[in-house]
Amino acid sequence: MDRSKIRNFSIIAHIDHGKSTLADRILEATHTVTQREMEDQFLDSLELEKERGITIKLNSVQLHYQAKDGEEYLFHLIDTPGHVDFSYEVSRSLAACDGAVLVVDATQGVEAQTLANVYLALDNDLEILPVINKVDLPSADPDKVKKEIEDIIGLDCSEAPCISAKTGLNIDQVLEGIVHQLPAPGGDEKAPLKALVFDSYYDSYRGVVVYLRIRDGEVKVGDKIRFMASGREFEVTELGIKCPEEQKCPKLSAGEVGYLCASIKSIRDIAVGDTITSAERPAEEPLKGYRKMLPMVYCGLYPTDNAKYDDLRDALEKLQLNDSALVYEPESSKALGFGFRCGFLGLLHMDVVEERLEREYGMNLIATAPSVVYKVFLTDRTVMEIDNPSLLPDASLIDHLEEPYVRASIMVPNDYIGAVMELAQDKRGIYKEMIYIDDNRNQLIYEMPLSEVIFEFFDKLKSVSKGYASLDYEWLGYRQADMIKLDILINGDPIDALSVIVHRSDSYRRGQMITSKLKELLPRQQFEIPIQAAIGSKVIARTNIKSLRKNVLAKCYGGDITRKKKLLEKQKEGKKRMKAVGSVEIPQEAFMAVLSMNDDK
Amino acid sequence: MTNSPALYLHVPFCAHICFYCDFCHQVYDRKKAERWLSALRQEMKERLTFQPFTIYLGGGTPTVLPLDQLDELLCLLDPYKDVKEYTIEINPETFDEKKAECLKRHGINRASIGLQSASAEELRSLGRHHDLEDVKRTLQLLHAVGIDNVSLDILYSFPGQTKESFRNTLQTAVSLAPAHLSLYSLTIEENSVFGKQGKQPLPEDTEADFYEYAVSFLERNGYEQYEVANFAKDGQYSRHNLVYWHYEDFLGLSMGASSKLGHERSDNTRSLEEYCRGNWIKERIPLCEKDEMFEMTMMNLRLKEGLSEKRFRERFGRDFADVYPEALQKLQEKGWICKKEDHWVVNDREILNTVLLEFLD
Repeated sequence: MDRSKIRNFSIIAHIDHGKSTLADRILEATHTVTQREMEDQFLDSLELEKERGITIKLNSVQLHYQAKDGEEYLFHLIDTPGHVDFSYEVSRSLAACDGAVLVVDATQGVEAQTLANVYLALDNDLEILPVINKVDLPSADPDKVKKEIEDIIGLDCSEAPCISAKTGLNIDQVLEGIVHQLPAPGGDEKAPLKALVFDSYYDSYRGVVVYLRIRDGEVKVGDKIRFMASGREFEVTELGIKCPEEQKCPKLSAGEVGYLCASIKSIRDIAVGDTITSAERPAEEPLKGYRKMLPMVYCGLYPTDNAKYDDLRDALEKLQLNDSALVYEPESSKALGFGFRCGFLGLLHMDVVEERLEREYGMNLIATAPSVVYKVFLTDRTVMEIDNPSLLPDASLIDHLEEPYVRASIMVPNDYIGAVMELAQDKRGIYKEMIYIDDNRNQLIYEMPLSEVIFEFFDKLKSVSKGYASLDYEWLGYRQADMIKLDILINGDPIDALSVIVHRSDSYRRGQMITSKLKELLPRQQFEIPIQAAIGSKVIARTNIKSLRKNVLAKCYGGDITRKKKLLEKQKEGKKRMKAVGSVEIPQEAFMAVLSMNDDK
Repeated sequence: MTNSPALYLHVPFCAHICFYCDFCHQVYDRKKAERWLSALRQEMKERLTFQPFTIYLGGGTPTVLPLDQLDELLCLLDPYKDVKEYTIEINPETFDEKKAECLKRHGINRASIGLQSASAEELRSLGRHHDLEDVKRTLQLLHAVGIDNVSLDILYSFPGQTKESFRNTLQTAVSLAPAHLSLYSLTIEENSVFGKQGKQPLPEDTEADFYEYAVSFLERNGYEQYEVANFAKDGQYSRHNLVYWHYEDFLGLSMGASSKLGHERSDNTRSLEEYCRGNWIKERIPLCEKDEMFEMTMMNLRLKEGLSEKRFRERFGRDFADVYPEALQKLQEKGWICKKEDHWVVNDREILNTVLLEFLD
């Protein structure tokens, strides 16, 4: 293939600006999928993605485009997620691209993650083709949005296509723009092989399937290859491209994007971000990999049935191959038995991992409340990193404690500035500045504890701004904070998995909220159960769950048998999803209840 | 099992729709009832091929049928009327002397009447169109033709009900001296008027208070709680309903009725159109031995007498204690179940569901 006819690009956008819909239209316009095969969010192959209408995983596909200059072009499109939790997926896809299509909603304008994604693209030296989407909507203002892009980002928008991905309007302009404004891949076909691993998954027949972008050289079936970071060598058994189904081909060369199998049995042998080279004629230097994403939140994952511990380990291992940002290590809990401490990029990521473990691997899980990583400075001058609140040492041993802070950037229409500022203040945010965007919008900058940003802040932000505010945040570092451990006792026993680290000033309110939330969630049992919140040995909140008195079907005649039996079976299923802790059965949701900050329930 | 199957016949019409009901019913219409009767004739010809053990006419409201159609329906059943117990459900607002005589003439010997509440105001809030006087009048009409085996239905735990009004209802019910009483707590069914209005039942504890009060009040007044929701004076149990609780066979005719015959349960269609086309049965559920063992347990343990080991062994050729060793051990340790001679009895049937969950895996 003539490299000047290849375009490797991603579509980047703020969440809900229409990225996946544009990808759908591009697939159709290039006849990659027929109308019959077409379904919405075609590239979102996870069931979960379609259900939630979001993209979680990057996904790549090869397309053929007959341009107006009469030439046929080969496109590699890599779809990327929009949510802030998955920015690492974006950065991985971008590293495999030469250009990016930036989609901006003509009714919303530039949002926090529009900016964040543009900066990621610029970091990767990508050319950017701006596209104004949703121009068919009555509230669309393409000229204003173009000006915004020029003013805030500094991209020329005079040629930017104004499209409707929904109706298909002007999609041809996007395709032509990709041909003429995005660069062809560079690289040297004659040089030693250098290929970037940007994704992978496990297939039980072929072993690890690696997605790669060839930067230099070429690779053929039968070649001996080496992963430069791990040093492991393999023989290539299969090469191919996705269009969008996997299609085998004998070789891949510089500029191309495809997949590779090499009888790689263990997922530990490879790492996303590693460089593949030839074992016979190795490259001297690996490609620049990715910035390793550090988990922002941790939680414990436990099988409801202790016997399923090994299954959970296998499932995590397999999932990690497909989700390199996931980290885990074994831990144990007095209440929950053996499980894993897992690290995630954010709560959505955590939610997605949990749900994938349950759906794709059939696990029944208990997840403990997530926590950020605290630095604990002990009186003996040693420092501990704590990602599990129950492990926080006794207060008498602690000199002081530090928690992670982020710089939160919030774009908000003027009408909601007051409400957003109040919310940020409430979440211990430190106001830094307000940046003028246009007459209607401002960007607020706050320094905030990560724990406050992660837990419910985003939902509350959306609710106080009627959905108009957008958020992005970046890591700042650790700062000293007056944090203490709140223990929760159920039926007199401290439940380690329910411990939570909170700010001292907030501890009473949190104690009240957690105990009352638990009262709501814990099923009544045959005896009365006290629920207490305590700091050290001091109980600061308590409530009681009254004992179960009546649990019987009102009436049950011949015609009721089917229905009533189903009801019992459902109750039984619910019971199976509970964890027996001592003599009390605790449902899954209870472990998340400690996060509940809704006092206005 | 020695008895032939019991017969249930569902009359799918009502004069009005009560707010808590999601049963198979529609507002009575003469033309529809005609079509229904002729379809029923067909279903009976095809499916009622034996002399049933008992007959029970439920609904809906059987007595919503005008005299001629009621007579037509009962004529269809005349060949089978020689049963020990032949029950009809009566709504007091749709009953008169002529209908009483008609019932008697066709051999009906038991009536189940929806009293629900003694308070006129409460009855209105439930969407019922009768009052206490109507119930008393109905009882007199029945007594006049010699039908004295009567059961009253009482509803509790519905929105707006107070402990005082419930006590009054119970007191009134007992003063009417029925042979039998059924006591149902309100379940808000999704498809009922209440469900659609988003109405809530009373709090769990209030419901439990009401129930416990009712049980002890009725026992004090000579009504034995022989089943979770059913009370009888002097052993006048409902033989027909005992067929269900003993998990024996029954045939359900007409729209929305269910049957259990041998190793199969089936549900009839709820659609008049389908029914008139002769597609009586909408769903057949084959039962494996495990299903049957659990269902028998589920039904039997509702009874005061409990589950008979002997009957279980006769039916399945296995010992109850061998089928559920872990559940029984756990439940015995907790003191929730005990063995009384041949029978396994649940000590506190108020939490029967919690007990039953142990028998499921």
